[in-house]
Amino acid sequence: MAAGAGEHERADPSIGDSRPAALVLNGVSKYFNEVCALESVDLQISQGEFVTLLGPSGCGKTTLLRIVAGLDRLDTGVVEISGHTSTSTPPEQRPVNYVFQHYALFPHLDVADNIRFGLKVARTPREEAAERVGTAISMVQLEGLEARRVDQLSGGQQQRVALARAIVNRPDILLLDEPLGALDLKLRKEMQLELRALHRRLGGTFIYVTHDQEEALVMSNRVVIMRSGRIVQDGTPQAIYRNPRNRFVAEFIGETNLLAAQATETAIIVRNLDLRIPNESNATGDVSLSIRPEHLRLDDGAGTTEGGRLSVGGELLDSIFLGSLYRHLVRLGDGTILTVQELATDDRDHAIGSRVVVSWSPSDTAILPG
Amino acid sequence: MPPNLRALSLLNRSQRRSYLPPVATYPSIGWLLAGLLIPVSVFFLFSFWETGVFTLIRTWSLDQYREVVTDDLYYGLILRTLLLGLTVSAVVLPVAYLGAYVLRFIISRGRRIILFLIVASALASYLVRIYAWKAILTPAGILNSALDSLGLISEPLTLLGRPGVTIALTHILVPIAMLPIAGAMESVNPDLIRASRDLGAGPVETFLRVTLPLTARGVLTAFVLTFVLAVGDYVTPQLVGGKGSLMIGRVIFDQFGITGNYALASALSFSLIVAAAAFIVGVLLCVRVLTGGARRFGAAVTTTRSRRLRVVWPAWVRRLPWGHTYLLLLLLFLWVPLILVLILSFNQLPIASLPITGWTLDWYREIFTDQTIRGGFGTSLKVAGLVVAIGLAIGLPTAFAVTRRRFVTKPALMGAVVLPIALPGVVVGFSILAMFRFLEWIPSMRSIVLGQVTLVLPFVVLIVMAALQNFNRNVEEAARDLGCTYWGALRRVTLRILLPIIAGTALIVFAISMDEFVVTNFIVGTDPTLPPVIWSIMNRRGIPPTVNAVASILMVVPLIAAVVYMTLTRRTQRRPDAGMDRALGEEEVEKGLPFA
Repeated sequence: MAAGAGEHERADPSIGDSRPAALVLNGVSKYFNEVCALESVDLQISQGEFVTLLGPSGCGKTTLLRIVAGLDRLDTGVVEISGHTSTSTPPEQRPVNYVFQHYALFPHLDVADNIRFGLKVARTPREEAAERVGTAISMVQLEGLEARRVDQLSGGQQQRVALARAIVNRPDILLLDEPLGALDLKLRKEMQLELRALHRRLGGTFIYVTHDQEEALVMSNRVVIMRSGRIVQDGTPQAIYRNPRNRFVAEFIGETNLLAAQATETAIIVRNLDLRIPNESNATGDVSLSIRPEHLRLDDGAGTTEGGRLSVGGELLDSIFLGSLYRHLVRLGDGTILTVQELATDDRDHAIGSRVVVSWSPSDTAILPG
Repeated sequence: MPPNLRALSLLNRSQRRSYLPPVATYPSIGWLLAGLLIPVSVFFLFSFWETGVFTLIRTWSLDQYREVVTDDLYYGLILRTLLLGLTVSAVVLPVAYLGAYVLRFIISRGRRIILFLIVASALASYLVRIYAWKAILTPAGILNSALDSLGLISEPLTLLGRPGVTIALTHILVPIAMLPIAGAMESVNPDLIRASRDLGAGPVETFLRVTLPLTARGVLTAFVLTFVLAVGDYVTPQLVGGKGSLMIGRVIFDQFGITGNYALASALSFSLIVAAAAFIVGVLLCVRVLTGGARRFGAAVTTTRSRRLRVVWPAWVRRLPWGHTYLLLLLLFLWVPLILVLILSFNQLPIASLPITGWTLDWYREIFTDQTIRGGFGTSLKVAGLVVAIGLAIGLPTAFAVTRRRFVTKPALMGAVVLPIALPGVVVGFSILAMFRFLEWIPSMRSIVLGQVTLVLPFVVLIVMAALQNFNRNVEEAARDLGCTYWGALRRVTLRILLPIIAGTALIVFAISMDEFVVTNFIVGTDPTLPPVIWSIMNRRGIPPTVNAVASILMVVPLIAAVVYMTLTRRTQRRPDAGMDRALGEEEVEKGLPFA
């Protein structure tokens, strides 16, 4: 099927292609013992992009990042950084810097010395180093903490030190390995916005690894979804959300309702629900229909649905008030449970247990293989 | 990927199977060969030769073994020695286990200082501790004279012999046995015990089903250490054994100095090793069977609990500071004999008795003018310096290689590395001597350094390995990422972070070297280190009171070094990933966990 590895194409060709490439991966594979961590990965990232590698744990996203940094060796393939082949360049000679998941700050150095470390190793002149460290410290808002020991800092502050320690070297590519994973939710949201702002200010290339799909949508202008060592889909958050390539992506990015269906040459039929829509794709055989909760609408069954909308009847199981939204759970005749999300503008109260009709537009229906 | 390409990449993958140990381990391997494996092999060869007086006749025979097996003096001694080892272990392990348990789970205040005091007592010289017990237990010694002056006894109690040996060995081995047990306990999360209680297991069942199985490895390590050290000891039976407590170690030792029957000494040594190994395996098997039984017993406790009347202690009994009381008794047992020696060193009367009637510094003055003692001290310092330098130089690369590299021969290498502490000291010492005799070399400071580096190598490798296993390698990778070369990252970051542990290892190695007697005594030449010098003084008829003064110095100096080290490294001794722990919320140890 179309979801196979290596066959992905850029969903939105308008991004980045005019700019020179910051990173090119060609057929990169990596094995740990006999286990395949990456299988023939191709990826091209242009200068100035903020790309998120997204996938469940164990999908190879961190391995990919470590290979770019030179921390892991690859078994096959080519890595090109800023136009130079870097496949076997040691990490210290690559123009990239890495922000580790648990920060990996040097416990024997204070905040300023941690940040200064890379400049010191590169023998940057003292005045220049001092100035750059000062700028980095103010950029991550750590003023006044320069002389602190790193184990006297909070998690959020340590995270900022790790970030400053990397950006002070002005890397061509900044690699961030789930840098917000250890922070609490509130701090995390704050840092997400700060990282976005930082990217705009520095204008460099950021590659960000996360397993949190929401974070991926918030942070980046391009998301690369990985699974089992392969790239599954690559595109803007919007494109991926609207046109997921397969069930995995549809379920991983955002929430969705899936209906099992059969595709014939002319129509797609959901047999259990007695639904039939014209088949405009070239899919055949078993398929899934994916409809996002916010594209579904709930009627109490009395009103008429406008022409062209699809509708199915069911029983309202529960209605959850989420402040700005309502979330309704509807059980269909065949037992499938649909999630419907509606803006809570008017308090139309559906009685739990009542019969309702769920409707949606055919254009909001994604047809996925399998 | 095409199948052929994939096969190629499998061949090229970075973790290929490597058979040879990494080059970094070669110095250690070489040293172990020279200092242990070859000597022990040569010594083993001796047991198949015939013997004349202080010479070996190189004809093959099994006579020596025949003698060991048929002469009830020899096999009786081996058996008796093994039983002594078992008795000592049976006393040491519960004492140490309870100490470690209380320290980990019962008390919350003063843990660091108490642990320090327990371990520090082990730093006080080995010979001094045995000597202290001799001073306490002899018929005219401290205990008897004190009891006598209180009018409690009319004639002196006979305390030397088997009880004396057991007490003295317990004193020496409790701190050593506590280290692996406390280490195992440290990794038991107190929440597991709470969870077990919450899930309905009583204190006894929780102990049998959770705590004990989780700490079993530590206990077994402690058992092997205790047993081997007790069995291989030839000094304690000599000093506090008195009549009727001859042990095999002593007999082997006598073949070295008195009879000169190397072939018999060798046959006895290897019979002892085989017997001890068989004994340890037997005990471990029994433990295995019994622990299964213990768990079943635990289950039986649960099923009967509801029917049984539970003993509920009154609140005031439970509130008594049982934990602190126990640890106080333990500390008194460990420290009172040492403090007595210190007090006696200022005693005006040249006999070991209480109460003290007058004070003097004469004994200290005397030792500073004694040429033998000063010479011994000088040699000890030189040897210890060399042993620290060489031990770290060859041990550190080995620890790194073993922790970070994969190779098929790793278990064999680790076996060889821990062999010096797994073999009875009397065998190691005799083996090195045997090799020197075989090659017709004369023992000198070189032989002492050869032997002692071999002995400290396990400590260097094991301590540094433990530190490296907890070391967060991301920190090293961060240094690489920030521009350091492999060696630069090692120097600027890894070694810098491990510095307190390396310094601590150096200190331990230094203390071991200054204090080592059991092996060193075999291989000293004309220039002995301090412990053999003191040993020869102790063996004179009527121990001169200057020994108290030397002993006090030997005891106090490593303690001062330890205190200095503790204060110096207080700030930096946090674990490398302490910051992360803080971020994740530190585990707190609560007071009053239930095992009472």
